[in-house]
Amino acid sequence: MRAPRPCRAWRESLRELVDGHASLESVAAVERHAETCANCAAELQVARRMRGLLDGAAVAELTRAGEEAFIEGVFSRIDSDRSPTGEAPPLRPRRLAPRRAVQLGAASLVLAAAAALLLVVRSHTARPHGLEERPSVAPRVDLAAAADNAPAETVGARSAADRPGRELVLGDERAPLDLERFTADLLHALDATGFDPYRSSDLQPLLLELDMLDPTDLARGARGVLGTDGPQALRGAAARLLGPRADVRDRALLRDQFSTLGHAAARSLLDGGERGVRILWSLSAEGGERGAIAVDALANASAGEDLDPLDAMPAETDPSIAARVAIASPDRMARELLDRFLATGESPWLDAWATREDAEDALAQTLERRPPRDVERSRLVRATTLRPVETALPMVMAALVDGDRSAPAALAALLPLGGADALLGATASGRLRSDFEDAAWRAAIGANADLMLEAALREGAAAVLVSATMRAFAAEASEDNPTLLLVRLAARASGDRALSSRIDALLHLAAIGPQSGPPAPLLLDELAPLRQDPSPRLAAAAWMAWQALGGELDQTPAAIDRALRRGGPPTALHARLTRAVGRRSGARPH
Amino acid sequence: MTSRALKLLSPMEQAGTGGDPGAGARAIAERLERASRGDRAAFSDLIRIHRPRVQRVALRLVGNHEDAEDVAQETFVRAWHGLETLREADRPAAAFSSWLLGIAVHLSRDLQRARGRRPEDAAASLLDGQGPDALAGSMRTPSAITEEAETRRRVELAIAALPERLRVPFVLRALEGQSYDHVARITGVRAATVRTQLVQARRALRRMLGPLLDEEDGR
Ligand SMILES: [Zn+2]
Repeated sequence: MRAPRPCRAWRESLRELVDGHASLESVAAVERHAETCANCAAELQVARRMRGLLDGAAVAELTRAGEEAFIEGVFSRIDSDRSPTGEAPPLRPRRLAPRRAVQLGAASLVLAAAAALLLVVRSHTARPHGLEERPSVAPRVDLAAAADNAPAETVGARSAADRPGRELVLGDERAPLDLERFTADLLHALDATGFDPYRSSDLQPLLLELDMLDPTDLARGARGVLGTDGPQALRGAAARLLGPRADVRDRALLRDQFSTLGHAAARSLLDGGERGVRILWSLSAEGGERGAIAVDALANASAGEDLDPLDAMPAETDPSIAARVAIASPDRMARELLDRFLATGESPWLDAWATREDAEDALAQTLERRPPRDVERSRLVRATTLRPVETALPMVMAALVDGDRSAPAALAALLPLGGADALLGATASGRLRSDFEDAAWRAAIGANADLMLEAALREGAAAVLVSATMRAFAAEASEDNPTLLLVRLAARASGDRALSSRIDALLHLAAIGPQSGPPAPLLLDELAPLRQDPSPRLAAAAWMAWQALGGELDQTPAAIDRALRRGGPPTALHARLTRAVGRRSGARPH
Repeated sequence: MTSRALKLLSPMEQAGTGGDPGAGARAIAERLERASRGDRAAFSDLIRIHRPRVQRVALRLVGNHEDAEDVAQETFVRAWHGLETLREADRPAAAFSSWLLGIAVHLSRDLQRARGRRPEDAAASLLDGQGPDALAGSMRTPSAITEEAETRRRVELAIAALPERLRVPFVLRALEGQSYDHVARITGVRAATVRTQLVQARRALRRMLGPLLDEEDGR
């Protein structure tokens, strides 16, 4: 036995019937099916009535009268336009008789046909024509009334809040509206709630306009819905429909309703192009939830391909918001962000630039492009602190010499890229102002003390390292205290020339004493072997550092004294050490 | 077949879209052949056959009789100048019919656009002189006449309210009996597009005519 055709299969036959193209066989087949299917029976009836109306509406057949005159007219036109080009002349200009003009004027005054129809549809029984009821702007959609007409469970609720869980959802309200899809979804949603859109209802206008797919009418319908207090989803959809067609009043309306429509209104404003985008920027400045939605929408747009919201950004926009919108686009070039920072000096642009993968390339290109001027150089130096490039070193050193406040941090970032050697060299040559030199050293040691040590040992610049380090940390204590650096310098430097630097380092260490920074045991481990150094001065300095850092006095002062004397004659340092050790051991009960 | 004999056939039959496709189509093909060699009598026959449909379509699109007649005349003028191109046609009679309608649709659109006319104006004009008087010959009671005229008015308004891109295919198919393929050829879009447009047009009309469709027969 053959499976029955699903109801959908009969649709084409019903369409043919409406169009007046159905064969007798196909009509008979639908009729047979309709006997057992109430849905198709109803559809068949509607199709027949529709065809009946169309047949009845056929404009009056032309009479034969005037036929010969018509033919004569054709030939006289043919004869008169034997123009050299062979082109047919345009249709004759309009001759508008006064009577017709009056009628047309009256007709358009009274109402546009579409609007009239809506009213006719609505008030079919109540009013004969409804011609005088033409709304001034848009057909108003009274959703509350629609709800009253409809079964209780329909979508035409007074507000979505009245019926939690029955909310109408019409696609992602952040996405642009796909008209065909929207119409289908809307009808589906209405069907699901048992709402019959074909009945006289105040939702008709929107549905009608949706079917028309005519931009002007659509905007009219959407406006009508937007102006109601109907379900939020429907109003949101109307807002999105309005998007590209919104005029200045619509945008004002969308702005007013931004609190309730949120993302849908934002989407609509975005779709409206530059003017809508400007409104979003101004909303973004308001902060709060409205502002957050606006920023979100702008960021989404930035990530999209069609329009760049930054093009319509007002100059007074908060740069942190602007930068957030900007970096939402994965394709946004670091170059653009860096240029914005260079132009404005606003940190959010700098931060945004630093998030890009090609940030260094952009910086290098900019440096290559032009010798930076004062303000711009300072900004480029700031950029270097975040994403350093080797070619920035000369500029940063020049800025350091000139006392640029960002230069020390930039130099610290450049340590592995030649910055360490450059700092040693500049310090040795005395080119730097002392406070900036100190700042640079503090930054450098904070960033990478080992690197500085390596460079100093490599360049035989232990003395420079020690003195600069000590000066840098003399003025103020710092988290990045240089104790470990000094211990290591003392332990690793070699050669006669370095001896005094090593001793200096240890004496400085003794002077600094225990501080924040590396834990004492670590320092003491490094110090321990130095106490046995063949140089009595170095050994004595190591002992001083040892006791300053709280190292255990594992030998008696006499033993220490003997050990130091083996290395040579006592020194002033030896005397100081003896006093210090004596004080300490004397203070303890032994 | 003489031109006198041809006149005995209804325009539909002659156009080859209904009834016997053979005789009418052959008669038209023969006249096309003669007309293309400059035979004005043959072309006059063709005008008599095709004018009603051409002018009706134009009327639906431009909305008033004066302009519709203007469009129809111009359609035949252009056809006369282009008859040569039909000689290679596979089925010249059918091709001629579509071709004429295509010209008429094109001219109507141009005219509408040139005048910036909206369809509602067209509807208003279309209804000129189509009030109750138009049915004066019938034997109905006055109230039935008024009601029927009102119904007809609403249907016309609904059709006129369709946007042009839906109205043209709808008129051609549902009111002028053209196949999807013919409509596609006339309007210059794909047949699949025509189907889509017609789905939209029917749906829109159904909405607009809603209450009329609900009425019980004979009430
Ligand atoms: Zn069924």
